Amino acid sequence: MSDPVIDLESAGAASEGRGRLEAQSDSVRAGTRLLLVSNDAMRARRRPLAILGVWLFQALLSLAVAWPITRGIAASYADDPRGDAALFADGGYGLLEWLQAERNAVASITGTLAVMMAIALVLGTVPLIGLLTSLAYTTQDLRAPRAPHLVPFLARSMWPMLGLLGLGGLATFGVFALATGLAWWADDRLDDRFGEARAGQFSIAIFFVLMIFVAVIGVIHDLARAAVIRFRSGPSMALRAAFSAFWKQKLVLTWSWAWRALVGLLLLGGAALVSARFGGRPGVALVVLMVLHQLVVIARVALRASWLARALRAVDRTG
Amino acid sequence: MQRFALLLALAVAPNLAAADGVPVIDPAAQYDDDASLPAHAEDVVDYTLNASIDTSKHTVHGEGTIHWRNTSQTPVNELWVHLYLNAFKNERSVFLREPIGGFRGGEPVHDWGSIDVRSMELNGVDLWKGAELHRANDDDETDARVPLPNEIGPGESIDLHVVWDDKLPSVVERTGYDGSFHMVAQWFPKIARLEPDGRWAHFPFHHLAEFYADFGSYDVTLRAPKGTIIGATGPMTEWRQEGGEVVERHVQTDVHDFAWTAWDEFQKRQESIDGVKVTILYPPHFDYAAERELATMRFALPYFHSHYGKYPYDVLTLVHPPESAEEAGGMEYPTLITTGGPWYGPPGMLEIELVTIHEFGHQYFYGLLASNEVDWPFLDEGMNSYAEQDSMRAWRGEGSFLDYPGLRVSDSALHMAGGNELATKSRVAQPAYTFATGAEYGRLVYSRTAEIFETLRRVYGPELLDRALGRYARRARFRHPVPEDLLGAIAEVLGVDAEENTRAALFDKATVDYEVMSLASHARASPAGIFDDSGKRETRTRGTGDGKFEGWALVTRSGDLKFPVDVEMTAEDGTVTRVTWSGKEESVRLPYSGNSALAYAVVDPDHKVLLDTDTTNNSARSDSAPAGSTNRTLERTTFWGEIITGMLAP
Repeated sequence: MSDPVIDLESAGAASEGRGRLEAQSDSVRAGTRLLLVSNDAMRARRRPLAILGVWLFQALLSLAVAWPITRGIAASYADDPRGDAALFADGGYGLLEWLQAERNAVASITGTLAVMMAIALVLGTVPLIGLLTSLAYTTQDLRAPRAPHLVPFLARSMWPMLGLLGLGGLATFGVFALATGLAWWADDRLDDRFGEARAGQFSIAIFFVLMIFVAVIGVIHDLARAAVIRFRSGPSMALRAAFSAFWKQKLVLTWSWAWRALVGLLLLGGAALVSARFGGRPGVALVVLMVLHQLVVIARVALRASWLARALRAVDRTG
Repeated sequence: MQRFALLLALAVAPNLAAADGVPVIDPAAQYDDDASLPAHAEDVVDYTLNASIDTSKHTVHGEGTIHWRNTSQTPVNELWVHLYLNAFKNERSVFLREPIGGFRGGEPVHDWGSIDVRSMELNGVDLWKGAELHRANDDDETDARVPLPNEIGPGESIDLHVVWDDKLPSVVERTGYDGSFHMVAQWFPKIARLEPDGRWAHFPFHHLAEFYADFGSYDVTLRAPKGTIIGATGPMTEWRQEGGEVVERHVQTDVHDFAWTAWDEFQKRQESIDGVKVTILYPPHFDYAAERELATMRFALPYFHSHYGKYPYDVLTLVHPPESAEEAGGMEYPTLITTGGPWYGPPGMLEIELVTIHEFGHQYFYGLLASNEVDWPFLDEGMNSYAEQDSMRAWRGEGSFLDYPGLRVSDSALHMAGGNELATKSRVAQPAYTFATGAEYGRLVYSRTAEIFETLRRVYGPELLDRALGRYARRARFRHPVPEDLLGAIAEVLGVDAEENTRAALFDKATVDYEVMSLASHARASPAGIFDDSGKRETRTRGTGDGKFEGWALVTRSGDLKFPVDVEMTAEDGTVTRVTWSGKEESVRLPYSGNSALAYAVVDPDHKVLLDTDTTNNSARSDSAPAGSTNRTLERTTFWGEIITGMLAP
């Protein structure tokens, strides 16, 4: 049964911007009822607080990891008036000395980081569901969904999202392994005929061409995630919707993902250049750098949200 | 006593005039500029050889004449001959049976190699028939003894006519073939060096050791199949094609080895740099790597010239082997070096430059000085590692290994980390074959030596160390120096204390750890207690002071190295004062006075003593002083954590 459409403006929802509302089906509980927004209204710029919420999740998770690392560093540098400046000095002497002196701690931190990354991968599904829901739906009073509204979506969508994560991970790993294997084969087998340099160049080209498929897997994965939220469906229906949407707009969608990823990389590069310029300077310089870094993180989250909104619009058109 | 005698000799001995054209060490000479450089080496052994390579069978047939002169003070009745290629003959060779891992040369032998001397005639008599190829109960055939029919007295010379055949191995370490690429090194019967006291410096080819020989001249004519590009020691004086072969003749004086390479796929570039004709031979499409190597030479030739004396040869050949023969790379021969690496290296990762400058540096520390690489590997590998890091720093600053925005790591820092790793495990100054593992050899000989000299540079000043090493390099040119020659130069320029530290660090596994144990300060006030002044006894309480503070910082030194260090004291009001401590005592209580309480004390704040085994105890703070800020770490790790989290989720 398709959802009816409600005109936002006639419902007095000018503050939500132009667009149309679609009434939700009766299966949603009263009080936490969410209404599907029209296709054109699925825009990241309508949900700044959701973007900040994702940023907050990333910041808190990172702080949870950064804090014990910083405490470990403090044990070595607390008595030095310059603090941890030695770690950031050019040349790497302080950094290498610390890594050497604290190698057991470093090994432990590395292990912990690996575990945290795995946890982040799973836990990150929560803000992802929240963001997608926020992009696709609005409350009865035409406001952005809040926590109580998101709980039913969370409960219903968690397992499909994790299932897609597993499938996407396996597919990505498979293509990556294939790309690596083919590249290695090319490097090994072609050097007698073409020389080592040309064989190496062929192998790199093969690797990067296959990496395009990894990017495509990522695009379809995101489309499927969007479909889970849009259609409140399981993984198989979501994948059908994702493939259907991708098939109709292969190049447009891939480019849509790619330019945002590129801008994100440029922001990262810019941040690295600024970091290098600031070096290990304390005080105001450090505060400025921190603000700059966080703006970069927020911008990257916004780009991600923008892409997810695009994905929502794409799968929505298949419904 | 030996050290005192050396210093006394240096100080008071008169100039020793050369006799018979043989240069002697002149203790009073100041080798601080190139005017003092000897024009030529003492000519001990001349090789006039003809060699022909069969690139399909990987064999070399050689014939020629060896003119050898007894330059020692004693007559000899035997010769010792290096047959290095027999290291790859079978698994009973010293090279292959030594259980040494963790260094280069770990590739298994796919195709065995050997050198077979067919004859070695002296006045028509074949001496090789009586040659002793190996010792009793030892199958190694790299160190042959050849009895002579008559004694050769001091100053007398002989001419040997020698015929031999090489079978090159698959590349295991430095020499061998891969496909049609051939690196032909240590390929001819080489007369061992006869020391002035009449001892032969002969030895089997050890896994970790390199080479040692006398200076002389090489006149070598090489034949290879048509289309082969040859690179060899010395300038090419003749080139022609004869039938299906290319023939090249290379002549070089004042060297102690001759190596060559042959491959039909070499690309070639040539450039004149600092008056030297530099040729680079490299695999097809490795142009980017070749350009980086040439760029390195454009810096290195003038730099080493200014620091260690002019490079005296007309030519230098760089050979970049194919990646499949990478074990032939990273090696040095007179006027020819092998580099190596992939066709493309990221611009900010300077491994190509490091290898190139290191192998070029060996033209000095190995080539021109010709120290005994077997007995004193630190004199070439260690000193050259210091020269490598010093020159790379001068060229690329503190990003001389990794140079990326936000991450700059120096070559010197890497050597520091490597050197500290095994500082107490074994001595630096010992023969190559006595190291237990390749890792020990690499980290102590290369990195620890570099770290020791970098510490000297920081503590005593770059100008002084540059002068000391330059003096050593110029004075020892062509003269086979020993450690005392280096230590003598250190003593002359940096002083006896520096020389003692260097000796202890090289020979005695000496280390040092500076530590700030504690600090304290209090407001200055008139003292309390019972006082007998002017016949009157009175009890006083502590009076109010003048607002000033006084205190102390207790700094200790453990280990046997005694470097002078700065101690920086920071007061609560931010005032910073520095005092220098000689470091000779095991501890010192340094006084403090200032307008506020003492908050922090840091020993060696500029981190000059890289040999300090633990820098985490180099500072202390008072109870009331705030902990040093770690906000940089918090900020950076949080930022990068957010980036990684963002890539993973959502």
